[in-house]
Amino acid sequence: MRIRATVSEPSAPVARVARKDGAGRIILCFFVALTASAALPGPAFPADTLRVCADPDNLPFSRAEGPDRGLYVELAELVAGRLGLRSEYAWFLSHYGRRAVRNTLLANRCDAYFGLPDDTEFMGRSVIRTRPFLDVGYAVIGPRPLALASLDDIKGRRVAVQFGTTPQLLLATRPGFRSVTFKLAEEAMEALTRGEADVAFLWGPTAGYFNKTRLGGAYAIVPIAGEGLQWQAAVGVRKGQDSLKTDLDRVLDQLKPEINTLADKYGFPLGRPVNLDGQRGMLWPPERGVGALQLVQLQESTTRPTPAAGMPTSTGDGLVRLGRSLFNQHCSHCHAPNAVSAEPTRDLRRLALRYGSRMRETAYAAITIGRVDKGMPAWKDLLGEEGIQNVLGFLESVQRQP
Amino acid sequence: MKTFTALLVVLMLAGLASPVAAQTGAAWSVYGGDNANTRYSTLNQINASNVGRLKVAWALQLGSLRSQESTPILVGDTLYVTSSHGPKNVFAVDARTGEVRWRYSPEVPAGIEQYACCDVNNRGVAHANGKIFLGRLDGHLVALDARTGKELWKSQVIDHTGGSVITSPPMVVKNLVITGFGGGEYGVRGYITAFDQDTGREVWKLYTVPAPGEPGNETWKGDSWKFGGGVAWHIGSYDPALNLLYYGTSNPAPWGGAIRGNDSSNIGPYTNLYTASTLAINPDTGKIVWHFQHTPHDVWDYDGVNELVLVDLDIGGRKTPVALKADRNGFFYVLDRRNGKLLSAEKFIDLNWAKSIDMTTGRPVENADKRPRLGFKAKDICPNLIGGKNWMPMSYSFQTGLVYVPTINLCMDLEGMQPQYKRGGFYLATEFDLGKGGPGGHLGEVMAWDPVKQQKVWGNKDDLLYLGGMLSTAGGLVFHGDLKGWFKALDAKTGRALWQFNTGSGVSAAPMTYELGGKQYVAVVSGRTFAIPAFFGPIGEKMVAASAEGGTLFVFELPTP
Repeated sequence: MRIRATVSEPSAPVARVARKDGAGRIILCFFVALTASAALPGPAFPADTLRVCADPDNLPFSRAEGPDRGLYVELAELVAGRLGLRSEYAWFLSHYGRRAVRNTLLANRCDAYFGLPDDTEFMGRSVIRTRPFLDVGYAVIGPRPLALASLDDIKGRRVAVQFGTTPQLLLATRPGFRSVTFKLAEEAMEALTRGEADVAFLWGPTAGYFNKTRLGGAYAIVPIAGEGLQWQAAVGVRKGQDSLKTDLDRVLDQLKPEINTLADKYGFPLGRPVNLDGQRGMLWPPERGVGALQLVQLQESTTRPTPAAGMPTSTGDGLVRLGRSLFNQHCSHCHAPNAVSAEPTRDLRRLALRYGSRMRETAYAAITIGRVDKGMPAWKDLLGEEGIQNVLGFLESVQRQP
Repeated sequence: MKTFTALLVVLMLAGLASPVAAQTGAAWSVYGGDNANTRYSTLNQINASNVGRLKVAWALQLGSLRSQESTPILVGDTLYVTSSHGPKNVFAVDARTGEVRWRYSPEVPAGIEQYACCDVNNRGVAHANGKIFLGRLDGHLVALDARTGKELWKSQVIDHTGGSVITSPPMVVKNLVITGFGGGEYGVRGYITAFDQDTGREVWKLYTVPAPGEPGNETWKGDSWKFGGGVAWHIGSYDPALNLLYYGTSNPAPWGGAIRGNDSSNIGPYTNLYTASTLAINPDTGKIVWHFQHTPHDVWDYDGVNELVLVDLDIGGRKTPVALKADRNGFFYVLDRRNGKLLSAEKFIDLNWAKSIDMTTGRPVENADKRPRLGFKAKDICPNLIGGKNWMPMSYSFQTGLVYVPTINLCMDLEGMQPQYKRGGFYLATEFDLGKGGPGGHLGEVMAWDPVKQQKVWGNKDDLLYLGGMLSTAGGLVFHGDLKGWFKALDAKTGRALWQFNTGSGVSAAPMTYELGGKQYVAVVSGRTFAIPAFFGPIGEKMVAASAEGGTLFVFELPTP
C-alpha cells in the first residue's frame, strides 16, 4: 500500500497516519505538506518516502554505490529512519553547484539536499534551510608533529594547494608563501607523500578522508579559520516545505552524536581551527581527539565575497570584522551566525531596540559575567577585554533601526 | 539564362577577389562558408526583388531540443548537419529534399550536461577527402565515412570529466584536422591539437600557455601557468597563401587576477600570454608565428575566441591582407594578418572598461574603476561577461564591403572572483549582477560595420540579446535569426527587413546558402539557447519567455515559377 500526498492546503498540518507494511509492523509515516507555492510541476511521489538529492560520486560526502556511502547518505538514512520513511535518491553530479540544485531540488526530483550552505542568499528565496549540522572548511595537512599557531608558520615551505580554491588565492596574495598548485586535492595529497611539497593547505574533508583511508592517518590535520575558509552545512529544502524542514531540524538535533561518529568515520578534521593570523580569542593549543566534532568555528558570510584576510581595509572595518569572527566562533551556537537569529529572544540585532542608549553597557555586562540563569556563560576569560570590545563593535554594526 | 548570368557574376566576383580572400559559391563546404570565415555567398538568385516570396522547401527534426548552434555544410548534393547534446545526431541528408541518407548517433556519456560548462551545443562538422570530422562533448574527435556515416577513427582530445568539452567544428588544413576545446575555467592549460586525417594520430600539440623556459611564461605569477586556461573553443581560420592558421583563445583561469598577476590595471609583466589573444600558427609545425593579445590580464571573462574573418582591405591606399575580429571586449580589431600588426581598433558597442586601444602597444587604456579586483566590486562594467559579441559569427560582404555583426548590449557588476565551486567543496553563494541592460535600453543590435572607416553604417536594435549568426549574399541580402524564432532577410545596404519567417524557437545558429540543380537554397537551424539565460536573472527570464526550446533545420527556396 502506498499513500500519496494529497494535502494541498497551504500550511496544512503534518498528518501522521498509521499503516501496515508487508511485514505487518506498524510504521508511522507522514504527508509532506505541500503548500501552494511548493506545488511545482512534477510527478506525485509516495508520502512514505524521503527523497534525497545527492552527488553519486563525491566521497566523503556521498556516493551512489560501494561500501562507503558518505556522511550525507548515511545521515540521510538515519534521518529517514527516525522519520519512519523510506529513502530514495536523485543522483546528480555537482560539477556546477547551482546547476545541481536547480536540476534536483528545484526541479522537484527530490526534497532534501544535504550539505547546502547555511546562507539565506544561496539560491535566493527558492531554498530554505535547516539549522546547520556540520562544519566544513580548509585545513593545513603535514607530517606530525604539526605545530601551527598561525599561517605564518608555513611561510617559505612548499605548500600544496588546489587550483581555484581559497588557499591558492590566499597564498598568492601574501608575501613569502610558496605554493605548488594541483588540479585535485587528492593529487596535492599524493605530492605531499612523494615529498614534492612540505605541507598542504586543502579542503579539510577531502584531505581528511584521503589521509584516513589511503595513508592510515599518517598526517596531522589542522583546520584553519578565516574569511572564506570555514562554513556550516545545512539541509536545503524547497521554499514552502516548512513542515519538512521542522521535522528535519528536530531529527538532526537528536542525531548529533551519530553525526559526530560519522564525521570521525570519514576522517573529517576535528578540533578547533587555528586562526589564519593567530588572532586573539582562539583556544590554543587546539583541543584534539575530542569525541565530539567541534561545531561552529567560524562562519563568514558567503553572500558577498569580502576582502580576503590580509587585504587592506579601514581600521574600523577591520575591528568589526574581527569582532564578527570572534562572535561567529564563540556566540553563534546560540545567537546564530552573523547574529542573524530567527529566534527573537536570542536575536542580538534587537539590542538597540531593547536597551536604547544602555545597549553597550548592558551587553558588556552580559558578555563579561554572563546571565547564568538563562544559560549564558561568562566570556571574560576566553575573549579578553579586547575581544569583548570587538564583539561589541560588531554587534553595534548589525543593530536594527527603530 | 538566369543561371548563366549568375554563374558569370560568380566568376567575375571570384576574379576580383584576391586568391586568399575566399568566398563561396554553389557549395558551402566549411562552417564559415570558407576558411576565411566570411560567410559570404556569391549566389544571387535569391535577392532583394524576390526574397519576399521565400518559403520553406523542407525541414528536418534534429532529434534534440535546446541550444542548436550548427551551420550545415554542403558536399556534393549532401547536406551535413549536427544537433545539440553530444551531438545526439549527425545527419547526412539529400540537400534537395531533406531525405536522410545516414544518421550518426554516438553514445553520449550519461550525464554529459553535468560536465559541459556552457550548455550542450554543437556547431557542426568539417569535411575533407571523403571524411566528416566531428568534435564531441565527450572530448573526442571522430572521423566518419562521408558516404555511410561509419566511424573510421576516434581520438581523445581532452578528458571531458574535467569540465572541458568540444563544441566547434575542427579545421581541416592539408592532411591535418585541428581542434581546440572549451571550458577553460576549470583547471586546464589550453592547447590546440592536430591529428592526421587518415589515422587520427596526433601530429602536434600546441599549448596556448607557455611552460617555464618558453617565451611568455614570465607573464604568469608563480605556477599559475599550470592551469592558465586560454582554450580555443571556437572556429579557426586559415590563409593558404600565407600558410597561417588563426585561432582565438579564451580568458585566463582562474577568473580572479590575484593568483595570475598584479590584479590591477598596472599589469606589469603579468599579461598572462597567450590568453584572450589571436594566435597565428604555422600548421606544419604547430608553432606560434605571431600573437596579438586583446585583453591582457583579463578579469572580465572577455574570451578572445571570436572568429577571425580574413579579407583584403584597402588600408591607406594599399591593399592589405587583414584579419577582422569583433572581440568580446567590445573593440573591433583590424590586424595585418601577415605579422599581427594592429592597424586599427575601435569600439563597436557602448563600452566603458577601457577608453581606447593604444595604437603603439596594442593595449587597452583601462578605466581602473571598471577592473574588478579582490575585495573591489566594479559596478556597471560594459560589456558584461558575454561580451559585445559572442560566438555567433559575423559576415563580411564582398558586395558592400561591410561586416554584419550580431552585437550584445549588457553590463554587469563584478568583484575579483573568489574561488570557484569545486565538487567535494562547498556550494558558494557568490552572486553578482551579471545581466544589466546596457545604455540605450536595447539588449542586442544587428550592425553593419565599415571595417576600413571603423564605424557603424546602420543598426537594427532589438529588445533581446542573442541575435543569431550572419550570412551575406551577392543578392544584396543579409540573413539572421533572433531569440523569438524569427529568421529574417535584410537589405544589406539599409538593414530594412525584406522578409521574415518564424521558426518557432530561438535562432542563434548562423545560416548558410547553397545552389543545387540551378536552384538556390537558404538553410538555418532553429532551437533556442537554454543554459545561457540562467546567468542573467530577469533578463534571462525574458530570454526564456521569448520562445520554446526546439531543434529543427529549415531550408528555404523560391517558389517554382
